[in-house]
Amino acid sequence: MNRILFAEVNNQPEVLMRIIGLLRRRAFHMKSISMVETENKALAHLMITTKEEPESIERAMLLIEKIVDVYKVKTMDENMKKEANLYKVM
Amino acid sequence: MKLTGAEIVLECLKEQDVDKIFGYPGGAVIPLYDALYDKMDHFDHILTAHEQGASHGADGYARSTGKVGVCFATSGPGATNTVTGIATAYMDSVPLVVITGQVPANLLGKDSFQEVDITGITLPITKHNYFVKDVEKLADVIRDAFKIAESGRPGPVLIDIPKNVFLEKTTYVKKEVLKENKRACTSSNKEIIKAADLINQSSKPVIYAGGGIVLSEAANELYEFATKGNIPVVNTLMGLGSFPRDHDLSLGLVGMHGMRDANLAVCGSDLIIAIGARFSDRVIGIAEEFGPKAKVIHIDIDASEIGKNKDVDLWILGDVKRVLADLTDMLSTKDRKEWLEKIEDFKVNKEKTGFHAENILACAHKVLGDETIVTTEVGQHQMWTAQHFPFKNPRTFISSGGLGTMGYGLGAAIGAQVGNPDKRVLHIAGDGSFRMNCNELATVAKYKLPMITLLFNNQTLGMVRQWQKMFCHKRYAETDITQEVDYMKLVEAYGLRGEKVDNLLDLEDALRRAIQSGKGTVIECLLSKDDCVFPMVPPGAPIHNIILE
Ligand SMILES: Cc1ncc(C[n+]2csc(CCOP(=O)(O)OP(=O)(O)O)c2C)c(N)n1
Repeated sequence: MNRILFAEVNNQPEVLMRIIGLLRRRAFHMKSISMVETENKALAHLMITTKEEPESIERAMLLIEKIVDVYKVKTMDENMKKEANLYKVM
Repeated sequence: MKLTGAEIVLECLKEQDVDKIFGYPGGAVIPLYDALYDKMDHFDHILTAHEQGASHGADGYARSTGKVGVCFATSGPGATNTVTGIATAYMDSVPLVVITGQVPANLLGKDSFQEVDITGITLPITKHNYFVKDVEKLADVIRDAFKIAESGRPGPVLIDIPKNVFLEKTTYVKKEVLKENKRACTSSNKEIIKAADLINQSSKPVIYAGGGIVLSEAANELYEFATKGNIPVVNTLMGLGSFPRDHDLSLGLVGMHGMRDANLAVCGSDLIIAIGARFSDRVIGIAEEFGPKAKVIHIDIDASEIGKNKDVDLWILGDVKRVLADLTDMLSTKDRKEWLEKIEDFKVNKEKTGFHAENILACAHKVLGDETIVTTEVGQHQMWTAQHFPFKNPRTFISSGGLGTMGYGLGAAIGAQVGNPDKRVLHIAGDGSFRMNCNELATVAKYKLPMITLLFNNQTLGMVRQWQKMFCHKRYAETDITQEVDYMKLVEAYGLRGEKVDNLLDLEDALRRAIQSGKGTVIECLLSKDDCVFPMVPPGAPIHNIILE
């Protein structure tokens, strides 16, 4: 099943590069990636849809959490994404 | 007070108590160096021969003093020359602040002269990096950079500053730096109690002590912990010096080139207590066979290290200094006599005679003493040093562990000597590594650094040759580096002292003369090509699979 890795981050492209870079190095599956500015323009929401196993997602979250520009990381399932209905592909 | 960006950089460095800067000038940082010209009474700037040397210098300074190392470089090639130094520091969790110049904002993105995307290049090898577009933000960026470099698990931070930002002016207000506790302790008492229970119940525990102990200044706490419970200690490469090697409980280096008793103690133990260590592949061999019957407790400040390379039964997140102090309080005093006697039987006692690394290192230790700061390059000489030099104090063994950077040791020794002018600094180099960055002998000469280099000349890239001998049927492809260089002439060209020795008596005399002279000295030791580092565990094998010769 698809899971969504969600992160609240500073609204800067470097954050996206850092996160994608570290996932790429671990050959982390990424089905879709979106990063959207929030109402507070200083922040953005990043969502990565993936088929990875929960352990692998958890390991990724630990690494993402360490990035200075990241405030929070969590996982969601796809239904929650529809409800949130906030995101579009960047 | 209105200051230029360049002046603000220097004022912010003063706020952080920085007085040593390793660097190299160039177009984009001319304004920074121009501002420095007026502040030479406060700063010692160490001009290296190459920016790689500057980055390793800042790193050696940081590792030997516990402070943040600072390095300046210009845009383009100046910046890219620091990349190996930054990656080296990143892999070994060394706090650095690297400040690079960038082309002026109006030339960005146009492939301008000496323009390179250094923040892009260093994304995966920095803890964080900044590109400063606005002079108003500059001071806070520098303050944050220091905080990030030092806090939690330390690491390098790069700040890229376009030339125009160095020149623009804004108001600068001095800020006191609050040296708050750098490492938060997040573990709960519950875990500490559980850990203490596991340890008290264990009859065959082993402490697996890593570089985190050095970073957290927790050597005394480790000593109390280990001696109260009579728990033997094995060290990672980065952890050497965190526990005195001459203590009965010290088993020395563990892993691929680990001592037999250290490796077998881990394999036979019922509890591994990993402290500030990351279960590197060079240590554990095969994860499941690293203590196959043992429970594992992992104490670390970095949550992402827990369970990364080996499954653990219990983990404690936090500053190892505080965790160890708490844990020691709950420890029962035990003698664990049976276990320690068993480990004693694992030792190999075989003395080598002649002019071999082991004896050379014993001689150097005898003449230079325990307080000596030793830096190494990468290869056989590095492993011999880790195995045989009896390190007693933290921050006395400085070596590129994670990245394994040949060419690191000379720059690091320069940084260590600059940071510790009253201490003896010994740089141990293989001939291959020495050739990589021997240009920095110019820096040793310029600043009259009294450091000593022991050049292990075996006329080969020894460690690679050893693998070729053992695993490639002695097909020695491109590892011979015979006779092309007369090192004594080279050293002389830099105005330093050189001596060449092939026996222990001459070595001892040469070392004493070096100390007496107070001048930078290179002592070339002539070794056999065929000497190998043993014990050795073949790559990908469990660590009880030890080849002894
Ligand atoms: C920059 C760099 N390039 C290549 C290597 C691969 N390497 C590891 S050890 C080694 C040989 C080192 O030779 P030398 O410095 O003479 O030391 P010895 O092993 O002979 O003591 C090489 C080439 C490395 N670690 N670093």
